[in-house]
Amino acid sequence: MTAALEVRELYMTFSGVDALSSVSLSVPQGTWMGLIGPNGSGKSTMLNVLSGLYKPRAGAVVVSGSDLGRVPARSRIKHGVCRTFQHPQLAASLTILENVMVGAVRGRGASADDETGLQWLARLGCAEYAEHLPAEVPYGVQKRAEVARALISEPSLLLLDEPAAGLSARERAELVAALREVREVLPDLTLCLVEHDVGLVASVCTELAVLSAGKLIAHGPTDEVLADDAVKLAYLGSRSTT
Amino acid sequence: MELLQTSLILGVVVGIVYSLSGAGLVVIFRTSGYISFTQGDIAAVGLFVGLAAYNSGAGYVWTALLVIAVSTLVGGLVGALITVPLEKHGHLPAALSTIATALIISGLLNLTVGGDPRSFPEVSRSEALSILGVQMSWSDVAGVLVSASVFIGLGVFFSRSRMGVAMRAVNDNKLAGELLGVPDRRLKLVSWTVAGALSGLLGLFVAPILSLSTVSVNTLLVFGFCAIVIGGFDSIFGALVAGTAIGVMTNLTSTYLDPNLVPTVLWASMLLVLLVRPNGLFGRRKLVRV
Repeated sequence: MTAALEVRELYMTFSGVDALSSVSLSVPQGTWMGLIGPNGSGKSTMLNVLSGLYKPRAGAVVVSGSDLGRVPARSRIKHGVCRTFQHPQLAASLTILENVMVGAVRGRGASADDETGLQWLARLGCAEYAEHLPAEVPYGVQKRAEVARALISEPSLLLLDEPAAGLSARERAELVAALREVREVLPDLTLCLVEHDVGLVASVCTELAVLSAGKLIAHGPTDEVLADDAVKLAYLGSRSTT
Repeated sequence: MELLQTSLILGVVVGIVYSLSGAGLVVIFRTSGYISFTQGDIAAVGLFVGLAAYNSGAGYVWTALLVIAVSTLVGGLVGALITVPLEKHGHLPAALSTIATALIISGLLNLTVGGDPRSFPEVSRSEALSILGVQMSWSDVAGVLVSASVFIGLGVFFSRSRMGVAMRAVNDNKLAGELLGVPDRRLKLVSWTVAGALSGLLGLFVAPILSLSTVSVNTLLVFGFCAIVIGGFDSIFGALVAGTAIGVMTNLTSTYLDPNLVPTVLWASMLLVLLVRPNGLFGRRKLVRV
């Protein structure tokens, strides 16, 4: 079966420094993969390469069998790739629902109507804010509205960039509940979740990929990866081994 | 009392046409984020071509269609060749290029057709109806009906259609627009083309009143500009309400005070709104989190 996402020998260099070095991984359809690693390990770079914002120095990104090497960022949504941002990128003068519907302009959910948008907002627990402007709603709602906007494009690969960053404990709990709801509704969706909160990642992802200094140091089932000594070392430093 | 009624009713009629001028500016502002100062000259090109056709024997309907077609084309070309490509350098160079383009078009028109005002045909000056004793011509009625239909159409387009909502998103958040695949360049060209058509339409109602010269359509653009500042740069509805209010206000000023005071009252009310509500009466206020 064709992998939902296949990354082959990816290299990304900034001013001579390798931000990603020889990263290869394959993610089967329907897998929720957490992409973790310490600060500066290359997680965000990886997400930017997958979404087409960065052009890698070498390597290939293949989504559902299509090589996206020559596909610019603005066209990736037609290949089923959609993402959210660490800081929500919503149009300030559009209501939350209108923002969600922008996801249907070029995505594969072109036939989606306002009802579908409201349905996604409801599943993510923020339907009551549909008619509000982004600046009038809590930060957590802005982040979930971005997820709804991405989902209405009917992606096959959803990239979430630190969805829990800046959220309160309660908002994190709401986010986890919302993500579980998404997984139930869309069992075939493949998810790549970049997040600092390893506990949150472990609670929703079945697989983990760990980056350290631009290299993939572990990839596999969540439990196994968390028990991996190299991962503990990368995350907690040498003290964890003493 | 009769004078008051005439001032009020004709003020509404002319005000709705002012609003149409504002609407063209809002369409461009919503997608590109700046004001176009070229719209009057775009209309002038269409009007002069239309007038030449009329003088060669074309009927009014064909003349009107030709004016709108040429203005649409010129509007689209200005967007495609000048302003939209310049946007990569920022809003300011693009906005300034609209002034330069306006002056170039105006200069070329002066060279080719001269600066003398000419009379322009209109729908009909014969009386169509009378409201509270105030007579309205078919031209007045046509101006109101066409402008009102345009407003309803634009309002529905921007609030209900997916392309309309996307056009508003393009200017608001470029990064998200790009990653969601919103075809921003195409939408901007659509907005310039539509605004060109609106300019031509506006010109058809203005040129018979002010007579056609290279500056006459620009005179009305000033009212349109004030209408969107007062109504709110991104609000089609605001342009309609403010344009109508300006029409009534300027008519009352000219009837009861002094026609020479009209510009002063207009600019003073615009300044007042800017001071009290910088985003206009109906503009969506962008809240900033601190």
